[in-house]
Amino acid sequence: MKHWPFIFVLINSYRNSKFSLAMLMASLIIAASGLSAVLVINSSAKQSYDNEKQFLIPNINATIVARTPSKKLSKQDYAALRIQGFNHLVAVAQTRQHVYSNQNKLSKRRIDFTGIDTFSLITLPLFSKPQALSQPKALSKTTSAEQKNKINTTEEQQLTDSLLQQLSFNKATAILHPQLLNNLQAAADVADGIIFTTKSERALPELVALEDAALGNDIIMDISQLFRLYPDASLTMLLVVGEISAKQQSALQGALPEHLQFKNTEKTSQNSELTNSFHLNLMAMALLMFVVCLFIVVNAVNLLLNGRLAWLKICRQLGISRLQLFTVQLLEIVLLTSLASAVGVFLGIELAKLASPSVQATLENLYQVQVGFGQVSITGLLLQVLGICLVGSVCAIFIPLSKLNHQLAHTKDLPLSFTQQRFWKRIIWASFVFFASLGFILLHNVQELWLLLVATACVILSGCSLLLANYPRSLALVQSIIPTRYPLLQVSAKQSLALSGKTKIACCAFFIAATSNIGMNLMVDSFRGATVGWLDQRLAADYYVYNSGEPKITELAQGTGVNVYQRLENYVQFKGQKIQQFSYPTDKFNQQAMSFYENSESDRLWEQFTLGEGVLVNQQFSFGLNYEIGDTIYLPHPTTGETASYPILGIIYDFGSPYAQVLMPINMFDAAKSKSYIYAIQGDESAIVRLREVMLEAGLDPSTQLIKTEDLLAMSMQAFDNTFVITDGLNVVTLLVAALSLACAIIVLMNDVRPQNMLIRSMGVSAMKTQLLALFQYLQLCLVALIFATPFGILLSWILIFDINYQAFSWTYPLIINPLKIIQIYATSLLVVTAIIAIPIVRAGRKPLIEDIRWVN
Amino acid sequence: MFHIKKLTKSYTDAGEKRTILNNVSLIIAAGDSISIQGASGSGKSTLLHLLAALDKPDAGSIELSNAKLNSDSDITQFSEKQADNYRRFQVGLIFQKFNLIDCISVMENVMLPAKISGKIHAEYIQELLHSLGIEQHVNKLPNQLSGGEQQRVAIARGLAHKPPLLLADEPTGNLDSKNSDLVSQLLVDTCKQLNTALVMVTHSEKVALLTQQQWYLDDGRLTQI
Amino acid sequence: MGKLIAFILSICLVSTAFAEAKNDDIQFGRGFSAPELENLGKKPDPNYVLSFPKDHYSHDDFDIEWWYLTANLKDEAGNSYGLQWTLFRFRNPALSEFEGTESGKKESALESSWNNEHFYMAHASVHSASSHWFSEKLARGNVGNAGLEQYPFKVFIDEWQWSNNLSKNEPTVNVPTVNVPGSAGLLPATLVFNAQLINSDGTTPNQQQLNVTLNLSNTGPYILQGDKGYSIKSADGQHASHYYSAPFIQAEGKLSFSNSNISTSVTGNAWFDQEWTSQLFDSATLGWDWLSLHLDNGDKIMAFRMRLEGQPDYITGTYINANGESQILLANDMSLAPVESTIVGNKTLPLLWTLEIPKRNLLVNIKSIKDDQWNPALVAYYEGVVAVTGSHAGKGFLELTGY
Repeated sequence: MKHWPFIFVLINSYRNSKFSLAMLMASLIIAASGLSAVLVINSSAKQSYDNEKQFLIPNINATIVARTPSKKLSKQDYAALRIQGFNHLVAVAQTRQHVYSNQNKLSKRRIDFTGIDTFSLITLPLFSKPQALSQPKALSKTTSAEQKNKINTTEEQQLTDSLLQQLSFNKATAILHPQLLNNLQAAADVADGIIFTTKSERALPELVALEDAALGNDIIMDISQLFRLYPDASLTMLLVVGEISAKQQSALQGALPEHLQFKNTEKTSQNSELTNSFHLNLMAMALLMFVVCLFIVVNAVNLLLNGRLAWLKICRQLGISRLQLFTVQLLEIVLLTSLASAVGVFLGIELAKLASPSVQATLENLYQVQVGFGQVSITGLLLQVLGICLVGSVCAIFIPLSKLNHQLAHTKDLPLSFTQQRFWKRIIWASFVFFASLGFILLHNVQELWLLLVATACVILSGCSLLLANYPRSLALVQSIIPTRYPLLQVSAKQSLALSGKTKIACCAFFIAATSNIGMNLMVDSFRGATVGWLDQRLAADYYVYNSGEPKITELAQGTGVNVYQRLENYVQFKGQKIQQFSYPTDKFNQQAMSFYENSESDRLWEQFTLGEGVLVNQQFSFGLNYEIGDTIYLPHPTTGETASYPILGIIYDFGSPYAQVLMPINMFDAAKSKSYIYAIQGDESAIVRLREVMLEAGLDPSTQLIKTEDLLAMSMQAFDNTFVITDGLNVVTLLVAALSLACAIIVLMNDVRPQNMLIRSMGVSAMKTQLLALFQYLQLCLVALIFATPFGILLSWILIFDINYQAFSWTYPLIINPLKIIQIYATSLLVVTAIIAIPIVRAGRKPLIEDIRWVN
Repeated sequence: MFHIKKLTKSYTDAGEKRTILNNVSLIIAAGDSISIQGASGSGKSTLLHLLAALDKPDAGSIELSNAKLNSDSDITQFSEKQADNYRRFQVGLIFQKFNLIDCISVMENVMLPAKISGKIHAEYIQELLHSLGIEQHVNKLPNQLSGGEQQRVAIARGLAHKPPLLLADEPTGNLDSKNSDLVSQLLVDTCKQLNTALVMVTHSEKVALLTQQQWYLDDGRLTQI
Repeated sequence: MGKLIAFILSICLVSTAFAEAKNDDIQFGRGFSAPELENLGKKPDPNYVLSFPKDHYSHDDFDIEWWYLTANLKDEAGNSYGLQWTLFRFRNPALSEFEGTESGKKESALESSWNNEHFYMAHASVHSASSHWFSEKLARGNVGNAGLEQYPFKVFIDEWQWSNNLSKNEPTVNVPTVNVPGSAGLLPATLVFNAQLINSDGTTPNQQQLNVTLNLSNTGPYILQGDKGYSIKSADGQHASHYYSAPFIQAEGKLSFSNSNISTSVTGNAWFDQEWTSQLFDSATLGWDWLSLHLDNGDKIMAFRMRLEGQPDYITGTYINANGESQILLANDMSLAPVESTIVGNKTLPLLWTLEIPKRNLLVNIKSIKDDQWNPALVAYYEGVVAVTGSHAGKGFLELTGY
C-alpha cells in the first residue's frame, strides 16, 4: 500500500485542522440536510396529491354533502339512500380534535379524526370481490374497471384493505401514519402504556401505524368509534366509491333530498398545479443553499490544504508524487462527503419532520389539499443526495486543489503577470457576455419552466462575472471617496482591493445569496403589495357573506337595510377547459373597485360592459388561452345558454386563482340558474346587526359567514404571510451560509494580512482599531457586492414575476421596488455578515502583538 | 534617555526554566547607536521587544526620561493604551522582513506612521528619502523594489514620525552582504544625522562594528565588547 | 335447522379470523372458540312456546339469528334456478366491551349513535345451469339501513327486503294449533334483492347484475323443528336452538338484469327457516351438513348432520307429509352419509349423499346439480341445489359448512 505513509500523516494532521474540518463537514452537512429536507417535504406532498385515495380508499369519484350548514347530512339520509339501493355510498364523519393523555394535550395541531362506515365499505367490490371457487371462465371479458383495480392492487393496498377490514371487526383500532404516532408518543411523558384519550378522557381505540402516503395529519377509524369518542360529531359526507355510470349518477342525483348535493371530486391536479409554485420556491431555495454551501466547501478545503502546505511540501521532498497526494486527498474528500451526506440526510429527514406540520398546515389551509407524511425511501434519498453532494464537492475542491498544485510546483506564490491579469479579465468579461446573452435569449424564447430556471441561473452568474470584473474599479472608487484625514481607512480600502482578489469565491457566494435575497424579497413584497392593493380595491364593500345555496342572502337581507351585491357564477367549458363566468356589478362604486392589468382605451368600456357588448377577462384567461384585448371570444349566455361573441374589453388582475375567468354584467345572470357563494354587503352598523340576526334565525353562522372587510383583509394577509415564512427562513439561512463562506475565506486570509496588521499595530494603532479596520475591509467587499446585487436582484424578481410566474400560472402582478425594503435587506445582510465574520476577526485581534511579530519574523 | 535597570526575563521551555535576560542593565542616550549580538535564542529580540513595550519582563524596569514627557515613566509598567501611544510617538520599529504594506505605494508606506501620529513633516521626509537614496521610488509599490531598497524604505518609515529611538531587529538578515553593508551603513548614518538613538540586533559582526557601542548577550548577561 | 348456527359466536372471534384470513374466505368450525361465558346471550329454553307473528320478529337477547330462504325455481322454458337469500343477525357483546380508560374499567363501545350490539349480514345467491350470481352485505344496528320492522313486517338490509303489509291487528296464534296457510304475518311477502355475476359458463353480456323479485305465499303450515321448536344439535344436548320452518312456500316472480330488457318469469317451491340461539359450538365443532328436500309427491324432508371432533356425528331431521303432518327423525330413524367427494377449486366437498328412512321406505341419492355452488363470502360455505333420485324423486338444497 504505497499510499499508507501519506495517509498516516494525513490522519494525524486532523488534530491540527479541527476548525477547517469542522467547517467542511458542517457546510456539507448543511447542504445535504437542507436538500434532503426539501426533497422529503416536496416528495411527500407530491405523493399525497398524486394519490387519489381519500381516507385510504381508492377510486372515490364523487361525494354527497349538505348544501348548507343549516341542514346537515344525517344518518337517516344515509340509511334512506342505501335502502334505495345506492350501495356505492359510504358514510364519513370527521372532526378536528386534539389528542390527550392524562389530560395533557399531545398533538401540536388538531388532528382530523375520520370515521368511516367500514361495514358498507368492505363488501364493496373494491374490497372483497367474491370469486368463484372454480375458475371463472367467461368473466374475463366483462372484467370491470374495478376488478382491474383489484387485480392491480399492490401489496400495500392489500395491507391497507385488510387494516380497513379490521376496523369493522377486530378489537377497536384506528389507523394513522407511523410518523404521527411517533409524534404523539414522543409528546407523552411515559414511554409505554400510553393511553391516548380525547379531551373528555374517552380512550382512543388502539392505534395501528400504517405507512401510506394518503395518511397525513389524521386518524382513521370505524365510524362507530368516532361517534363513541365524539358523540356530537356529525356526518361530513357520503363517499361515492368506485366508478358509477352516468345512469347511476343521475338516478342518485334524482334521489337526493333537497338539502343534499352531489359533488364530483375535484381532481387534485389543479391544486397541485397551484402548490407547485410553493414547491418550486422551496426547491430553488434549497438548491441555492446547496450552491452557497459549496462555496464554503471551496473555502474550507482551501483552509484545510493551506494548513497542510508545509508538510505536503515535505512529502514532495520525500518523493511522494503529486498525483499520489491528490488521489488520496480526493479520496478523503469523497469519504468525508459521503459521511456528511449520510448525516445530512438523517438530519434532513428530522428537519422535514419538524417543518412538516407547518408546511402541511400551510398547504392545507392555502390550497385545500390533504398532505400526508409520504413514504421516504431512505436509500433512494441517500443515493440522490450523496450523488449531488459528491458532484458538488468534487467540483468544489477542484479550485483549491489546482491552487495547491500551483503551490507545490513553485516555491513562491508569484503575483500574476500583467498579461495573465489581462487574460483573466477577458475571461471574466467573456463569461459575463456569455451568461448575460444566454440568459437573455432563454428568457425571450423559451416557455419551459426548467429552462427559465436555467435562464435565472444565467442572470445570476452574469451578475457574478460583472461583479468580479468590476470589483477593483468599484473598490478604488470607494477608496477615492475616503478623505485623506483617515490614512488607516485609506490603507484599509486599498487592502480590501487586494483581498477581493483572494476572496472571489466567497464574494461570489455572498453576491448570489444577496441577489436571490433581494430578488425573492422584492417578489414577495410585490406580491404582497399587489395582493393588498387588489384586495383593498376589490373588497370595496363593508362586509362579505359567504353562503352556498339556501337560503339566498338577497332574500334574507330584504328589510334589513343593507345593500347586497350578489356575485353569481357559472362554470362553462371553453376550449376544453373549465372556466368561470362571474357576474360583476356595473355601478360607479364597483367600476372604481376594478383593478385592471390592461384595458382598452375606450371611454365606453363600462358602457359596453354594462350592455353586454363585451367582457372582462382575468390574466389567467388572457395568458393561459392566449387572448388579447380586442379579441373576440364565443361564450354561452349565462342565463339562456345561447352562444354569442363578445370582444375582450379589459384584462384584470386575479391573483392566485387557478381558474380562467370571464366577467359579465350582473344583469345577464339569473340568480335561479347560477350559483352564488359570495355576497358583498353595504350598510351601516345597525343594518348589519339586523342582517346578523336574520342570518342567525335562518340557521346560518354569522360569526364565520359574515365577515367584515378589514378582517377579511387581515385574514388573507395572515394566510399570505404564513406561506412565505418558510422561504423567508431559507433566505436568512442562505445569507448565513454565504457569510460563513466569507468567514472561511477570512480565516484563510488571516495569515496573509497578519504581517500587515502586525506592522500597523507596531506603529501604535490599538488592537481594537485594527480589528475594526479589518471588519471595515470585509464589509466594504460586501457592500460593493450588495450594490452589484441590487440591480440583479431587481432583475431576478422581474423574471420571477413576469416570466416564471407568467409561464407557470398565467398571471402576473406589478413589480414594486421599495427602497426601504432594499435598505432593510442591506442592513440584514451586513448585520448577518458582521455577526459571522466578527468571530475570526475578534479571535485574531485578541492575540498579543508580540506573537504576531514573532510569527512573522 | 532610556535607562534599563536589572531586567530579568525567563521562559519555560519544555518544562525547563530558562533565564534569557538576567539582571540586564543598559543606558541608551539620545543619538547613541548600539548593536546587540548573540547566539540564536540568546534573548536579543526579547530585549528589543521589551524596549518596544511589546513584552513584559519578570523583574526590572526601563525608565524613560525625556524632556518632552512630563515625568519619568517605566515602560515595563505601561498599559496597552500607553504602550500604543509610546510606539506611536517614541519608537520606530524595523523588522527583518514584512516591513512594508504591499498594497500601498512606497510614499504612502513611509508616510503612514507620520499620519498615524499626526506629525507630518513633508520636508523632513523628503530629506530622509533623499538621504536613503530612494526618492525615485516613491510612487512604486513595495514589491517592485529589491530587498535592499525595501529595507531602506523601512528605515525611512521607521524614522518618519521622528521617534527618539529606533529599534531594528536583524534589519539586514534577509539581504546579501553587499546590500547588507549598504543598508546598515545608511541606517547608522541616518540615525546619527537625526540624533536618533538606535538599538540594532544583529548576527553580523561587520554590521555591529558600524555602531558606537557593541554589546554581546550570552547566557542572559549583557557585556560590552 | 343446523344451518349456520355454529357460525357466529362472537364477533370478536370472527374478527380475529377476519384479521388472520385477510382477504381469504373464513371457514367455519375450527379456530372459532367460545367467547367468555359472561358475555353469552340467552340460552334456548326447551319449554318456550312459540307464537306468531311475535316469533317472526327479532330475538335480540340471543346471540345469533337468521331468516333463511331457499327456492327451487323454473322459468317458462323449463330452465331450473336455485335461489338463496339470508339475513343474519349477530349480537356482539364482546365488541361492545372496550378496554381502555386508565382505571381499567370497561367502556361500552356501543355508546354511539352509529352502533348497537347487533350487526347484520346478508347473502344472496342465484344459480342457473351455467351461471352463479352472488352478493353479500354487512350493516350495523342503529344506523337504519338494516334490521327488522314489525308492522308492516320487514326484514331488510339496504335495498334487499322481505316485506309484507302485516297490520297490527293480525291475531296472535300459537303455532302448534295452527295449520292455516298464509297466516301469521310472515307470509305472504315480497322478496326483493340483487346479486352480481361471479361465475359463468357461457357468454353472458349485460347479465352482470341480476335483480330478483319474488312473491311468496304459504300453502301449508309452519313446522316447528325438534321438540316444539326446540332443536337439539348434539348428543350431549349442549348445542340447541329455536328453529321453525315454512317448507310449503309457493314462489313466483321475475329475474331481470340491470343492463338489459330481458326478464324471466319463474315459479317454484321455496323453503323458509328462522332459527335463533346463543348456544355455540365449542372448539370441537367441525361444521355441519344440512339438507332441505321437496319431494315430487309433496312431502318435505329436513336432514342435518353435525360434525364434532372426538364425538360421533349427530344426525337429526324431520319428515313432513304433504298434508303438513311432521315427524322428528332421530339417528335410529334414518341414515345420512356422503357417498362421494368432489374436488372443486381448492376444496374437497361431499356432493353426493345417500339418505335412508326405513319407516318411510325411502332410499335416495342426493346429488348437487352442479359442482361449484360455493358462496365465496367473507364467511364462506356451500349452499346449492340438489336433485333427489332413487325411491323418491325431488329437488332441494344442500348446505355444507366447515370444508
